[in-house]
Amino acid sequence: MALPPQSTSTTAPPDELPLELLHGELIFSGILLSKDKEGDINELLSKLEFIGFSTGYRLIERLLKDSTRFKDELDTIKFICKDFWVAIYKKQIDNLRTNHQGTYVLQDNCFKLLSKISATKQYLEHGPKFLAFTCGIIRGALSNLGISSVVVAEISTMPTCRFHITIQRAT
Amino acid sequence: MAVCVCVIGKDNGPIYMRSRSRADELSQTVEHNLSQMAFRGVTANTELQYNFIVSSALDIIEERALVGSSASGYKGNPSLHPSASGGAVGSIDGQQLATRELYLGALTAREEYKVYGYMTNTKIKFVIVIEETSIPLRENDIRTMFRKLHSAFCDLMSNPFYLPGSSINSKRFDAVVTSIMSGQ
Repeated sequence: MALPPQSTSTTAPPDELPLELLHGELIFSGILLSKDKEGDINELLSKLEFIGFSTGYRLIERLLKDSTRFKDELDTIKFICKDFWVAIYKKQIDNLRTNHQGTYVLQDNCFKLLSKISATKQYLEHGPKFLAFTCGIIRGALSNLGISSVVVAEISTMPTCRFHITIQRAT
Repeated sequence: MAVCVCVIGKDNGPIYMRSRSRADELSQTVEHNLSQMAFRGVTANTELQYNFIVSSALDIIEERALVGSSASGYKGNPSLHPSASGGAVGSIDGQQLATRELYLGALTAREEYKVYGYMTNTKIKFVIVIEETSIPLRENDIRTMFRKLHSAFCDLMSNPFYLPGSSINSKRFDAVVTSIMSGQ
């Protein structure tokens, strides 16, 4: 199956919309509308991150059913960038960088969950909330593969985002 | 014919164990309850024996997987090297090239059993103990059994009510294991 063009437009096939809409609604109704103190929002976000963790943990089990064993850590991260990302977001990560010491930076130039949000600065402050779930997914997937990590995300301009994965090694 | 199917979690603790004695128990009717009582001692004994067989296979799984991940120079106990043990149990001569596969091949052969192993990418191990019969099982049949088991496990993982790492208590999974144990 050919990958759909990676454009930001609203012409995405309707079968990809449910996840985006569900996730958008989770953030908007579930988090932004709960007009409470800052602490509460963080609590909700960490809950969402945990939901992502569980999702990733279970998803990777299924996705790896027919693949061979990974050679090393980089091999694992490459799988996350390619097959894993395609399974969730129907596209691959655009850029992967690593310092070969346990830090990986995954850049998505048009992150699906942000692509329907105005690219101006208007919603930039809410941007990171839309990445919590995905951070959890990555962390969960790696955790099931025996790699414990910390995943943080950053947004510079709207549909572009970066995920920083730092592998935690037992000392 | 498979006499024991076991699933072992990440931390090497068994999360599912089913041996033929228990399968027989399940299929027995209430009328047989009395005779069953008499056999209980024997049953517990065989269960223990399977437990022992599976546990002893774990070390070999670890060795194999290690060889698989490094793929190159093997520096360990030479008698445990897959090619060496491959000669001993036979039928797995092609082990060397199968190192990065999830299927790990025949692990050990005890008196009347052969033990086969499989490890998923997520370090979940499956062990199947096969009773030696006059008709030897083909390698492909074993692979099919493991693939079935793995599929069932993936389905189980997708169940939100199953807590990963906890012991398996699922009727659907039970049914698959029953079909594996009776089907071949």
